[in-house]
Amino acid sequence: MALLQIAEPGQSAVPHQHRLVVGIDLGTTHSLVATVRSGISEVLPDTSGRALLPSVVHYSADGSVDVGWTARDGASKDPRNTIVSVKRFMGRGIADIASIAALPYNFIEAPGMVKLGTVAGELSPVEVSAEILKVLRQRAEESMGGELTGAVITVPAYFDDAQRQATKDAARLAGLTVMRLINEPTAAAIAYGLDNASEGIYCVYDLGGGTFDFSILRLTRGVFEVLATNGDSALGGDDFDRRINDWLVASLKLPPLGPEDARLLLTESRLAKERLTDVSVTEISCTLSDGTAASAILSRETFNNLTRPLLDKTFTPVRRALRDTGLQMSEVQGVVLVGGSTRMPQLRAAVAELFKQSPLTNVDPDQVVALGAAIQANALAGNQGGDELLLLDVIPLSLGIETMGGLTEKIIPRNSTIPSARAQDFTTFKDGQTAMSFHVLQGERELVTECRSLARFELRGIPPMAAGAARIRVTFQVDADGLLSVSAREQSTGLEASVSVKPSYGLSDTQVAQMLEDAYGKADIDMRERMLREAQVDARRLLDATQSALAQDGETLLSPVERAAISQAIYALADVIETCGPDSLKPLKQASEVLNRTTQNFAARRMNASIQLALTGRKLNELETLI
Amino acid sequence: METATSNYFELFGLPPRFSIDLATLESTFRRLQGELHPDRHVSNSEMQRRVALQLSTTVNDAYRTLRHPTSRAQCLIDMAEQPEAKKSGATVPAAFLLAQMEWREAIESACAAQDVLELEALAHRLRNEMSTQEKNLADALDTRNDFQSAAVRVNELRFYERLRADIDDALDHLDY
Repeated sequence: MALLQIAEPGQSAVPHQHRLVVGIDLGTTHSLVATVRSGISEVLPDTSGRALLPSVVHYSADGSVDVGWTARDGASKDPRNTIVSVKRFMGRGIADIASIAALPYNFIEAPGMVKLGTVAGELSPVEVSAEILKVLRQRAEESMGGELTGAVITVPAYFDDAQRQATKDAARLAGLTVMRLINEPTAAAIAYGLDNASEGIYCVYDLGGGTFDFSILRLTRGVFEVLATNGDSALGGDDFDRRINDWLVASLKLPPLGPEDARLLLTESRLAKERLTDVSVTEISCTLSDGTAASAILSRETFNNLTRPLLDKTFTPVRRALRDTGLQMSEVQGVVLVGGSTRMPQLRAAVAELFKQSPLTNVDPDQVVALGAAIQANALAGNQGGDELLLLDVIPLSLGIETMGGLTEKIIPRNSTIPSARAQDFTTFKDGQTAMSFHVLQGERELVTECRSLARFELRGIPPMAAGAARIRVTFQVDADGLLSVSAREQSTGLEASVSVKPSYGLSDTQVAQMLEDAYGKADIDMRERMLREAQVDARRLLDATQSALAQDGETLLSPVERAAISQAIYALADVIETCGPDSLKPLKQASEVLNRTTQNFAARRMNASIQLALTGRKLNELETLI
Repeated sequence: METATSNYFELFGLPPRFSIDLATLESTFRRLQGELHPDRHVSNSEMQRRVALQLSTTVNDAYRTLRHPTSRAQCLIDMAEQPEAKKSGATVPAAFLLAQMEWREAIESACAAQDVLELEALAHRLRNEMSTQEKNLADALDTRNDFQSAAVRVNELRFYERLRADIDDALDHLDY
């Protein structure tokens, strides 16, 4: 919509700066970065004009790191040090990784997440992913001519808490400010839905390189409401390659292969799969390291038969998601195909047969996720005009706590709209018990051992009481990124003891700081200075936000005394910012916190006013003109 | 903190009745989140963001409670402050319990036979039973103001919901 932009009366005098923000699709096989320019979402290509960046990282003995096409092309020459599909290892332990024996890596068991042994040392999948993100960040900054202020990063909808946390850590490590993590199918729905002005029930079938997601959404004038999501975070295009690979090994009766040959054969399998999208028969031929020629003819029919079980495997999550919404197949308006793997003709035919309608393919299945993420980043940055884009997403897997007998009690069920919070009361079972331990789990199964363990923590210092007398309220809160925090509080005595946990797979702030220091070297970045600069930026933003809120609603919602108190806190903070020196970090945080506390009731009243306005269906400024 | 509202119906601007217009509920939900969702407050002060997060969470909870017949009815019974309705509600008629056992046997045998079609047929029959029950609830709560019998109906609905979950679990188990 091309409207004249006019400042609203009383709004902050600072003109809104167009913030440089991007959407990033950190994929298993490829990654992309996109941004919104002049109202249009577009993918940013590299200097050779290529939009895709293969998610392949090669570490050399001389310490250099190579990401993308050249790393991919050289994968079979140095398989151990060329990390392909690292996304499959994010937030995973060794036991979680399927067909680990067939992978040419030196896996090292580590607490929480597996590590990879390379010439560059033992690396966490978070560090490898950060290399991919750094390249995309650099590409964006060169193309947009400035430092990025934020990014929206996409994750598979079916990623659990550990995998989400790992992704966020990788972004932080790459120096990106994560505005939001959003789910890949939701991002795709935004790009598709806005482009086609779609309304109604839409499904997104997203088969990527290593993950499968299926989401059902209701689209209503700019609101994207996810009704249910399901999937398989270890099923993707890679598995189709592997079926060809296994067929080759079996039909050519190949002996166990070394890492170079294993990688070569996998690459040839992938290329054959890609060729079969356009032709019905293809020849695979390569020379193994011992000089043996390996060649075979693969027909589309054989390929279809080999991979039909994989396709069927994707339909289970489809039916489950539909069951969760209570919708019938016939109520689905359209099925959007996302992910490079949905180019396979047999897949398109099978989806059409299941839904009894042709899937929608008028989007580029490789780019649509990044394009949608860019639109959301733009909206979050406040760059867009009057468009009312709103995402209402859900958690993919139930969250719960271990109870007696190794059973899981669900606290927040799957497909709950986020942000979400739920509390449950527990009690002591022994007289005089002063501590209680909690085990936080994610998953649908009843047995603790079949769910993913997210965290364990203890609440200590419960006053000794008779068994069953203490009342311990455990609260689960899932934020808008889909990340969980848990706290516990003893209530019967009024004594407050609370503890917040981070998933055990996540990295602590000190670990990230350490990794940043290792990565940049001490000379490059002074952490203290960086923190001070960030605190200054935050404080200025807080000042701006409070002043503009005062100008808008101060007269109507606050008494003169309340206004004076807020003004005083504003002056105090402004003063600290003004006289900022190297030791100002603490005073800055304190003055900001004082201002925050002083505005608590004001904030609550403003939100109440918005609720009333939402109920009457009018906007705040419309009402003001009416009064 | 000054709270927004005392009950979920008020939060959604709805009269406290069992029969509600779902379309209105849905569109009010979208409008409320349009104001309260954390994405709408990214550049606001931290306090404003905290308040928004809390209210947005409450709206999600309220929406889920009001959308589902069982929790909506329970909400009305709780608001009625009739303690007898709350505690004695558990006494479900014996004939109902007998019917429950028959349902359970039907589900178990369909499950043992891995009969996906039979399970889906049972789910369909169950949906019909549940919508009849919802009509009974509307009658008890909105017309007769009989919270005692509403509490029994709610408990019966909970039995049906458990059967529904069992059917879904069975289908999940068969990878269907």
